Amino acid sequence: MKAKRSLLAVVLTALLFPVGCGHIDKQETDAILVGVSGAALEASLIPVIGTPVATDGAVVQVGGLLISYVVDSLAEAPNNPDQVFDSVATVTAVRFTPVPITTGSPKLFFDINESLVLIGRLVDDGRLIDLSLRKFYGARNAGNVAKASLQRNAVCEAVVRFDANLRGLHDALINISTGIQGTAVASISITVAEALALREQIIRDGSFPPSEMFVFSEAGVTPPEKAGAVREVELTTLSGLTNADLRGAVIFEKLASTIDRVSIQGFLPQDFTCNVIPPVGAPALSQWGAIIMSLLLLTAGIAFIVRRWPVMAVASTAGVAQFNDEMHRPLFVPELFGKALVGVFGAVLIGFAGVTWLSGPIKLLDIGGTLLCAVLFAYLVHLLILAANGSKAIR
Amino acid sequence: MQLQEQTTSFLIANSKALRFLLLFGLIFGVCYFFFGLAPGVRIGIIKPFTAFLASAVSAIVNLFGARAWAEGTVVRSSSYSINIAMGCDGIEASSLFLACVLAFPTSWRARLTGLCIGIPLIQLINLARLVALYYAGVHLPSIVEGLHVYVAQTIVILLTTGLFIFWLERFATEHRRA
Repeated sequence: MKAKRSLLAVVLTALLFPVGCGHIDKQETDAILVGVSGAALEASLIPVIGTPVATDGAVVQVGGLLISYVVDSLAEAPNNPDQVFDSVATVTAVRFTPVPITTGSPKLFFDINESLVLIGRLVDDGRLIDLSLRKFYGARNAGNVAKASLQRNAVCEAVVRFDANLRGLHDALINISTGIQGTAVASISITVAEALALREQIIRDGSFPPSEMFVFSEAGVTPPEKAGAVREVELTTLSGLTNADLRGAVIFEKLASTIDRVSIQGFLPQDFTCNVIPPVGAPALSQWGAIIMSLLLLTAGIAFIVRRWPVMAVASTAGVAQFNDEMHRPLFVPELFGKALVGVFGAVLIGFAGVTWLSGPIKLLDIGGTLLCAVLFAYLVHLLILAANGSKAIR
Repeated sequence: MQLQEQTTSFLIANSKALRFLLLFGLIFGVCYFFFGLAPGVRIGIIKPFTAFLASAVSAIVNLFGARAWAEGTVVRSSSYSINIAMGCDGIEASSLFLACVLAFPTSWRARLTGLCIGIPLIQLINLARLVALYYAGVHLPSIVEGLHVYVAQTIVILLTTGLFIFWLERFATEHRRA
């Protein structure tokens, strides 16, 4: 029974957010509600899965409803302009209390707390967008172009952050979904009827269960916001959902896929646009770059070892290279390098043939990377042969 | 028989070089596991470090009026955003350098000198790369992809290799007159 209640918490929680969030894909994601207390859930989940997933569920659910209300109200901003628009709006940052790890996977713990942080930031930026939008319309109505531009920038910066955090929440939920596989949460399930009953209870009471109210108090929710969150619950139905959708194993992934590719820009007033630029990745070293760098570093190291070999052999008892500047060995013998190159290229050709046979055509980038590495590797081999030949000559 | 002799001769003549290669592989393998795979390190060390890099980049570009801000591992501004993802933090280049320095047959003092000078310098090079990429994204968006895939990467590779050669020449080998 405890496990079942636990799932209710998580499940509801998970499904409510996407539905509420501007009723995105409402037909697909029809929400369910749970009136199970966050605290009770947490208490029941800890011994089951070792991490307080339920608290996360309560925050995602109730916080999600709050965000939904804020987002849904953005379209009304032109009708509620704020006449105080000289400075940009600020809000008190919402930071939900992190859940303490007791047992279980540290990674799951991290992802759960990451989602709590992200929900808090989404609430912050949702409120900021709302306030800044109203200031923007206030400034525009007053004909103050400079202040309208200031407020537009404030809105757009918050929009960028909101979408980035929504992507982050998506990733965290996917990670949570992966993390709970194989745990008791993944195997429990509830029925549509049970979820519906809980939804009806919340609508009837006009409020969430007292034990879930910690989400509102931690978010500093105002009475209109709370009423709006409850109204969001009324918008949810269970059409299109089956009992199979309400299993612990799938619920977080379902939620993640629902918010995937959603942007808050779709909820802004129609005459308001932002030129938002998505971040571009900046990798330092690609795989081929790392291989080439390794070969260059190794070649440099071996060249220094080989170049001064004769004296090193004498002084090697201390394990420290001691070199004689007058006994440098040549580091490039064209004839030997040519032979090494032919041998390495021969091996590369055999490798190419094998890879093509096994997995189809080779990409141009891989051909280029391999050929460049082959030249470096041939030089490395040539150095080692040079050292061996020199050793023979001395003996 | 002759082949066996040749192989033995090759191994003896290159014992130090082969030891260097083997140690390099071992040390880099440990670094790769530690920094790349161990979940606690990724979450507890690498991610905060990457966020610190993002803050450093935004602080530097803000010195010149960019109005950028760091948000986790992302540097954002109204004109360009750059995400310092896993692998963009210079850890890989630093690990390769560290493995080479530790594997090279020299004194511990020389190794310590190499690490103390080399790794901060590699991180500075990477920071400069990120700042340069930010400005490239703002002013030359059409070629930023090519710049960051080919030019910036090549510069990091060449500078790190140059740093290693400098260390080999100046610190790792004890010169003595015959």
